[in-house]
Amino acid sequence: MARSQRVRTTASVLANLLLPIAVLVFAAGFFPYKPVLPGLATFEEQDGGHESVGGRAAPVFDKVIFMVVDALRSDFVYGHESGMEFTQSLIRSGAAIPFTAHATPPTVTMPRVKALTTGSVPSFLDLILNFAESDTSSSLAAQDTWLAQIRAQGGSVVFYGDDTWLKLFPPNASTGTSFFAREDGTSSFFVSDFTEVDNNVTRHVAPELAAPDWNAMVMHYLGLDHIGHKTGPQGPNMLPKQKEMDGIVRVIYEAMENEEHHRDTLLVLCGDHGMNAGGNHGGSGPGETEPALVFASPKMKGKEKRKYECPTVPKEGTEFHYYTKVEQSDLVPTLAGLMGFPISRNSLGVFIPEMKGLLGEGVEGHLGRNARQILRIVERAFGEEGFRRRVEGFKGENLATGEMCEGKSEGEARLACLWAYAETVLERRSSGSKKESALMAFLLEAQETLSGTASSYNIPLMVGGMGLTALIVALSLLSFPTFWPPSTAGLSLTITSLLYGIMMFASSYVEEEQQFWYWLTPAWILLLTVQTASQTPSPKTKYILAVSATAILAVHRFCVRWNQTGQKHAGEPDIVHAFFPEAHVLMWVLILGAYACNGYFLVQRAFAGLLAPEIGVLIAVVLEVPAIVFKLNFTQADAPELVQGLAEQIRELSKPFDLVLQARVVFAGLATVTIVVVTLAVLSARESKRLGMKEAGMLPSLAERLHVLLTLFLMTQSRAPNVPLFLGLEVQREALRRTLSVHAGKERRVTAVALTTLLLSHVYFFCTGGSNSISSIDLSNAYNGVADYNIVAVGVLLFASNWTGPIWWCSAASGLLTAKPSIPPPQPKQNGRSWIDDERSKLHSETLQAMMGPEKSREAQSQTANGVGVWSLYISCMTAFISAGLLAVMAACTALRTHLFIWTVFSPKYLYAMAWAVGWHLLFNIGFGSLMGWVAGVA
Amino acid sequence: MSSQQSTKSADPQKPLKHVDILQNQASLLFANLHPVLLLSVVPISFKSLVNDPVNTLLGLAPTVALVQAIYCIVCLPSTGQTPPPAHKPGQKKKSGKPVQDIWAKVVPALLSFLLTLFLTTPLLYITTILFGAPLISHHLHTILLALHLALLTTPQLFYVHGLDLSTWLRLVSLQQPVDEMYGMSLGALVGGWLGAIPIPLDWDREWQKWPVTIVCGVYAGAVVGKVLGGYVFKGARMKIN
Repeated sequence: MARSQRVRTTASVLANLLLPIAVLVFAAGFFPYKPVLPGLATFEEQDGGHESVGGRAAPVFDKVIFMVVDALRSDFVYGHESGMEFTQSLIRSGAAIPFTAHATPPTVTMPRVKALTTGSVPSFLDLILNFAESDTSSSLAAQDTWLAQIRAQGGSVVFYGDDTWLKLFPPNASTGTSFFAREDGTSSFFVSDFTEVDNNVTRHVAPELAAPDWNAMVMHYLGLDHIGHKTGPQGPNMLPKQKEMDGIVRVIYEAMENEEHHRDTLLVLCGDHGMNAGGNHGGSGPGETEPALVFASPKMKGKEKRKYECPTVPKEGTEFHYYTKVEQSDLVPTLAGLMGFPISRNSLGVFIPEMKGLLGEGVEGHLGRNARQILRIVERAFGEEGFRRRVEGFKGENLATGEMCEGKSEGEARLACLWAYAETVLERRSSGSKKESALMAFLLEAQETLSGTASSYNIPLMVGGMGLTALIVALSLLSFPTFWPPSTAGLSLTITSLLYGIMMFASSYVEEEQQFWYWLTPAWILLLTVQTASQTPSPKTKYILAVSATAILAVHRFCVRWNQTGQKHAGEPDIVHAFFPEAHVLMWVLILGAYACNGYFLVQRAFAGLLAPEIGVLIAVVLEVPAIVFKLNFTQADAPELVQGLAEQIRELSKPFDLVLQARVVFAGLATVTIVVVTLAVLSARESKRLGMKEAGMLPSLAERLHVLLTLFLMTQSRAPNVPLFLGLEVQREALRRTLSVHAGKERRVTAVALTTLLLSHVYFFCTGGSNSISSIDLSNAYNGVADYNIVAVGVLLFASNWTGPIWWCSAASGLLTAKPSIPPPQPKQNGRSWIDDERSKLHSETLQAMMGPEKSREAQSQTANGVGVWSLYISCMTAFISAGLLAVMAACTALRTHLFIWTVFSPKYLYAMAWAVGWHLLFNIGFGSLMGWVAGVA
Repeated sequence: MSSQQSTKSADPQKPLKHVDILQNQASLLFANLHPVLLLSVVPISFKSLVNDPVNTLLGLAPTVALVQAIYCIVCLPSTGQTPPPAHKPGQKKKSGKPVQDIWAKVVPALLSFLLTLFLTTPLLYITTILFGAPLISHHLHTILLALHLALLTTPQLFYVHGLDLSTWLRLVSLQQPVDEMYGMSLGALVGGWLGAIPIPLDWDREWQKWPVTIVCGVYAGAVVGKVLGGYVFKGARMKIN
C-alpha cells in the first residue's frame, strides 16, 4: 500500500491548507454573527402612532449614577454575612429596590458590559473579541446604548474605572472627540492589586458629585473581583472590601439627599457577573450568573408599597437567588423609562414590573414602546412580512384572552398570536391592567425566544465545516507511506485519537480532559520502554531504559499535581497553590536552578563550537540575569505572596525600571543572541563543509541551538511557580533521547516521537494550569513588554504563555527528529595547501572536539536518516490526530447543540480545539518546524 | 500491540517455550476452579470494599494468597521441574518419596510469596504512584492495592521461573511466550490500568472512590488474562515493533 512521495506530500500540504478554512467555516455556522440594528432609536418609531394611548410621562430622574462592582454576587449585598450594612438599611427603608440580575454566560466582563448597556444578549463571538479587544466590531461606539441615548438627548457622561469601557466606547474616529466628557480608566492588569484599582475610581467620586454638569456617571470597581480571583469569596479581604463599597454607596446617597442638583438622581448598584466558590467566573455555575442589582434613590421612599426584608436568605433550593430575578438586559428599558429616553434598538430587555410605581401613569405607554421596540427585532428575526401576515391571521381569530396562545407552537407562531392579542387589546378601550398584562405576556415571550440560541445555528455551514474536516482526515491518512504492518506506536496513536474523539461527547470528560492525558501518558511511556527493551539484547541498555522510564514517570507524577485543573476538583490543594506559598524559598531555589540549567545549555549547546566558552558564559549571564530580575519583579507585582520579602535589594535596585522596560530588555537580548547564533552557525557549517571536516556532524543542529533560546523565552512567559517545570522538561527530554536512540526502525521511531510529543504536549498544557474552560486562560503574561495595545504582540505572548509546554515539546521534537547532515567522505589531502589553511582547520577542529564528547561523533555517524521523509511523516501523524480530534469536537458541538452545556462546555472546547489546530499545529508544529528545517538546510 | 501466533521460537539457542500446567486431575480441577474463586472475590466483598476499603483489602489478602498458593502448588511445575510424563495406563506408579515431593513444592511456593511480599509489592506500590495513585494521602489504600496486584501478578511467575534474570528481563520486555500464568499477570496489570477510567466521571457514586475500581479491574483483568493466556493465545509471543 505504499504511495509515491509526491502523492503523499500533496495530500499533506492540501490537508494543512484546508485546516484553517474548515475551522473557520464551522465557526461561522456555530458562532453566528448576529447583525445589529444600526442607528439610534427614536421616540417616534417606538410610539408607533399610538402616542395618544398612554402618552409620554415626564422623566422621573434626570441623572443616573451607574456603579458597577465587578463580580458583585447577590449574597455580597443581601446575605447575612454581607458587609454592606448601609445598602441593606436602604433596602429596608424602601429607598432601594433589590433584584438578582441573571447574567447569561459567558460571564466575563466585556460581554456583560455589553448586555448592561445595549440590553442585547452578546453572542459567544464576543468572548473571542474580549481577548481581541482592539477589534472594532466589538466596539459599542456605533451601537445603540443607553449611554448613547443620554448623549443623543444632549446629556454628557463621565466614566471612572475598568478601561474595558473605554475600549467599548472609543473616541469618535472622525472628529476625535471623546465619548465621555471626563474619564479615567484603570487596567485590571495585576490581580494582586486590591486597593489601587479602586482608589483610582473613588478619588473622583467627591468632585464629580459636586459637579452638576453630567447626566450619567459610570463607575466600575475591580477590587472585589481581584480579591475573588486571588482568595475566593471567603477571603480575608472580602468583607473589608464590601464595607468600602458600602461606604461609597453611603457617600453617594447622602449627596443625593442633601444636594439640590441631585434631587432627581438615581443610583444603580450592580455586579457585571458573580463568582463561583473558587472566586472565578466565565461559566454558567450558580453564583457566576447571579449578580446583585439595586436601584436606589430618596425619591423611592414611599412610592413603593412593597417592603423588602434585608439581610435575608436566598430562595429555597438556591444559593444566590434573592428577591425577584430579572435579566441584566431588563436594566435598559427600565432605565429608559425612568429617565425618559427611547429604548435602545437591540435591547431584549423587559421593563421591570416592580418599578411601575415610579412611572405612575406612564407605564402603559412605556410598555407599548418596549413592545414595539422588541417587535422590530422579532420581525427582523422571522422576516417582517411573514410575521405581519401571521399576526393578521391571528387577529381574525378574535382572541379573547392571551392564554389562548399557550397552545400555539413555540417561537414565531406563539409570538405572532400574542402580538395579535396585544394589538387587539390596545385598540379596544380595555382597562389599563389588561393592556399591561397583554404587553408583558408578549414581551416576556419575545425575550425568551430571542435569547434562545438554538435557532441561530447555521447548520449547512457547520456540516460544511465537518465535511471539510473529514476530507482533511482522509488526506492526512493518504499522506502516510504505509499502514501495514501496523507498528505499536501507530496503533497507539490510532487508539489515542479514537478514544479522544469518543471522549469529546461526554461533558464530564471534556471538563476533566487532563485525566485522559495523565492516564494515557505513563502507559505509553511504559509501552515504549518495553518495546525498545525488547529490541536490545544488552542488559546494560535495558537498565538505562528502565532508569529513563522511571525518570520520565517520576517527573510526570509531579507535573500531574503541579496545578490542579478541571472543574470537579477545582480548588483542591496542589503544589503551586498549597505548597509553594509555604515553601517559597524552595520555589525560588528551583526557579534559579531552572535558569542556571538554561544558562548551562546556552553555553554547552547553543554556543557550542561558535563562541569561546568564556565569551559564551558571559553572554549567558547577560541573558539570564535580566530574565531572573524580571521574573522576580513581575512575581512581586502579580503574586506577592510568593516573594515575601525575598531579594529586596535586587528589587530596590531595579525599581527605577518599569516592568515593560525590563521585559523588553529580556526580549531584545534574546533577539540579538538568536541572530548572532544563526549567523555564526551558518558560517561555521559552511566553513566546516569547505574544509571537509568530520566534526560538522558532531555539533548540535541549529534546531537544538535555538531550542535553548526558545526555552528562555517560554520561561519568561511562564508564571513563576511554573518555571521549575522546565527542569522536569529537560529531564524528560534527555531520558526520551536515550530511549529513542536505542529505538530501531526509522519510521516507527518517528511515529513514536510524534505520539510522545502529542501526549506530553497535552500533559503540560493541563499541568501548567490550562483547562477547557475560558476562565483558566492566563492573561498575566500577555502584556510583557507591551506598553500600548498591539494585537499581534499580545496574541503571540498570550498564546506563548498559555501553550508553553506544547510549544516547548514541538521544538524539542523537531530537535529529536532533525537529522544531522551526513558527513562527507574525507577528501584526500591536497598538496601545496598553505599552512594558514592547515592551521585554521586544526584550530576549528580542536574547538569542536573540545566542545563535544566522543559519543557525539558516534551518534552523528549513525544518523543517516532522510530528513525530509522523517519530517513529513511526523507532520502526517500530527495532522491526523489534530484533524480527527477537531472532527470529533465539531460533531459533538453539532449533535449536542441543544444540550444544556453547549455554551459552557462544548463551545469553549471548540475554541480550544481551534487554538490547538491553528495556533499550535499550524504555526508551531509546521511553521516553526519547517523554519528550523529550512534554516538547517541553508546551514 | 499485536500478537501473533508463532509455534517456533525466534532464538534457536534458547528455545523459549510456554509453561503448561501439570496434567493431573487435581491440577486440572483447581486450574478451572481458580478463576471462579478469584472472580467471586469482587462481588462478594464489593459492599464492604466500598464502605471500608482498607479493612476489606486487608482481610481479603490472606484468602487470595491461599488461593494463589494452592494454585501454585497444585497446578504449576516449580522452577526447573519439568512436568512428569503422563503415566502410561499399565505402568506401575513409582512409590517415590511423597514427603519430599510436598516439600519440594511448598518451599518454592513459600519463597515466591516472600518475594511477592517484599519485592513485588514495594515495586508495584512505586509503579502505582507513578501512574497517578495518591501520593500524600490514602497510603494504606495504595499499599494494599499494590499487595493485591502483587498477589495476582508474581507468585506464579516466581514459582515457575524462579529468579532467572534473563527470563525476568524477557518477561518485563514482553518477549516470553504467553501462557496462563503470564497472561494472568499481564491481565491484572492492564485491568488495573483500565480500572481508573470511571473515576473522573461526574456520576458521584460512592464506588468511584480510590481504589475500588482499580481493585475490580485487577481481579477482572487477571481472570480474563488467565483465560486468554491459557486458551486463546497460548504459546503466542507478543510481537511489538
